[in-house]
Amino acid sequence: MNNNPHDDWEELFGQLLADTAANDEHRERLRIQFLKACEDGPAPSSQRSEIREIGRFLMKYKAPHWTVATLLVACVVWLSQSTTTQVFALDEVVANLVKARTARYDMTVTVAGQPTIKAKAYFLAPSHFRQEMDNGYVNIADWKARRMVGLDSMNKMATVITMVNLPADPDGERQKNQFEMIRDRLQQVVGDQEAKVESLGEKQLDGRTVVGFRLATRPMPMTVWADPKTKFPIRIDAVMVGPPRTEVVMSNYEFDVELDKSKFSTEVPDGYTITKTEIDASTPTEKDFIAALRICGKETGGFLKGVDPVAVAAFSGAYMAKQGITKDKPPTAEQMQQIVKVSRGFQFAMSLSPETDAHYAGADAKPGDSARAVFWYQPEKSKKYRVVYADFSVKELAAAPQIEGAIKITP
Amino acid sequence: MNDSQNSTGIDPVDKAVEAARTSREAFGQLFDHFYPLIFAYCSRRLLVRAVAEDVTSEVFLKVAAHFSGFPGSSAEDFRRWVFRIATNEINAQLRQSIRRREMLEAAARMGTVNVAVSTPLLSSETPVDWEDVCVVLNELSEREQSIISLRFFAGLKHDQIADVLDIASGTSRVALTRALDKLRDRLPLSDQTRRSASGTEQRGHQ
Repeated sequence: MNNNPHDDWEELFGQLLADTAANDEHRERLRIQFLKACEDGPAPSSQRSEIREIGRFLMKYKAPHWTVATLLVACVVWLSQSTTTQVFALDEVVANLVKARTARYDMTVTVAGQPTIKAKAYFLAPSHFRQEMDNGYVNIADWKARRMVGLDSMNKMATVITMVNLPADPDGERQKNQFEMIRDRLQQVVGDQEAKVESLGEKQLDGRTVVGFRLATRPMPMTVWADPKTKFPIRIDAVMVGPPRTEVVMSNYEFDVELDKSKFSTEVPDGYTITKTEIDASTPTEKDFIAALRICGKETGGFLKGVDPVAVAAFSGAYMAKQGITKDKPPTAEQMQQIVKVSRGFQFAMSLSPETDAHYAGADAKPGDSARAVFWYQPEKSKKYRVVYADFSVKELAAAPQIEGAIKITP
Repeated sequence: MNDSQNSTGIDPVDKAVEAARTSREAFGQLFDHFYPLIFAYCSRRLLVRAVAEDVTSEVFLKVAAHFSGFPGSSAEDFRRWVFRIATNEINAQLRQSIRRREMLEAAARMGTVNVAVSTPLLSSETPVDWEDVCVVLNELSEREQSIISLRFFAGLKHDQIADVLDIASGTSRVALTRALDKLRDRLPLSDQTRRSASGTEQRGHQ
């Protein structure tokens, strides 16, 4: 006889076959983080979960590291695709930046609607760049060698990316890593009398007096906070207006610090499972864009909600889920190429200037619908619009299609 | 008597809570003691291992980040605190439709509730699906869900539940009884309704 009126319920819920056995690996990993977080003090330390959250969002329930990497790479590539020209008298700060042989700084990337991604970044002249994400994922790039390596030390997985068809111009923007690219843009601003630079005066930042400058440079406005004594930047904020709006913050800069050269090696350590792929670094064309739409149509049965980095990452997640790619079943080079092609194709749209009046309207279009325009733009010096339809055909029209919900593409 | 008390009558977890402010080892002991409890709680409520692990991580990282401000000094104080954080985290997860959908998909894979267990409670000869149980559970208020979860998934007593949710112990008892009544009333009804509706889903949870 039951004395407790809830015993039956206890028995009912006791039948729930939830897997409550703790995973030793998770427990050990968390234990280390837990003890470290305790030693580090009361700083909130939920980055790992946030990154996994992005991964799960993108993967529709699965979160292998490639998705996160794709998002990061997409953001970085997008950043490097943007073009700008402009201004001011930050010259001493920029001169110091140019002279720096090494740099170490914190980096956060926030794509609208997504949790912030944090990383520690390292630059070693002439062209080495390393990013360490809070989740243990490490990205190492040697742009001169045209090689990039992603290391997932937790799962002992490595992705080796070789850049091919890179434009020959050694000073070209695409030859630069992210640190160099920011540096170059600041140099351009300093040398451009037309550039709009607003002095923000002094303020306190993390207990230090800093002097600020806002650069109204399109399409990526930047704000630079520098130490008035050392004339070195302390923090640089860059915004890509999107959509999606993407904010990149580089802070806690340290320059000419001693860095371990071996940390920039793009050789994969022993014991890693390697996936190799190539990225075509030539300028993407309309043909690449249509190829990307075709791949999305084939793999997802429709068109994506956008043609931005988040859409690329969402596609990656859906594609990997469909292909059964998991932590234990890494993608093949061919599968990686599908993702790279989508990313590259969408870069075409994202790199069009505002003057081209580019729009995307594929979100609810059905593949094969020859009457439905999904993308259009007016190429430079052309009086007509190039219109891509849902059957992947292209026509030239005198006026832009009028479709409700079309998204204006802003680089 | 607390089952973690040793022969000296001093609860080692009490001791660990006290020592954890200065001792890394004691802090690790707290983790070792509470990790399986919190993970099991999260896992039974959320049903998806990856989500349960994430929430467990979030709970312990919050504990670590805010331990310096933890006002308690006993194991019971710590239990109350850590389960409160876990309950808040679980509720935050379940406010997201994607999490609820994941949970229901996992519940659907679990099949039906054992007949012998379900019939005395639910007055039905047809065992209900776990998915239905979870759907109805999710329809309850957040506080009712928390009380049921803390009682049956975390195994806490009423005074402990009351402490976690900062309510009176009597309130916890009454609220649990009412929540279970709702659960019972809705389960057979939904089962019959669904049958009479020629297979049409009534709750739109697919």
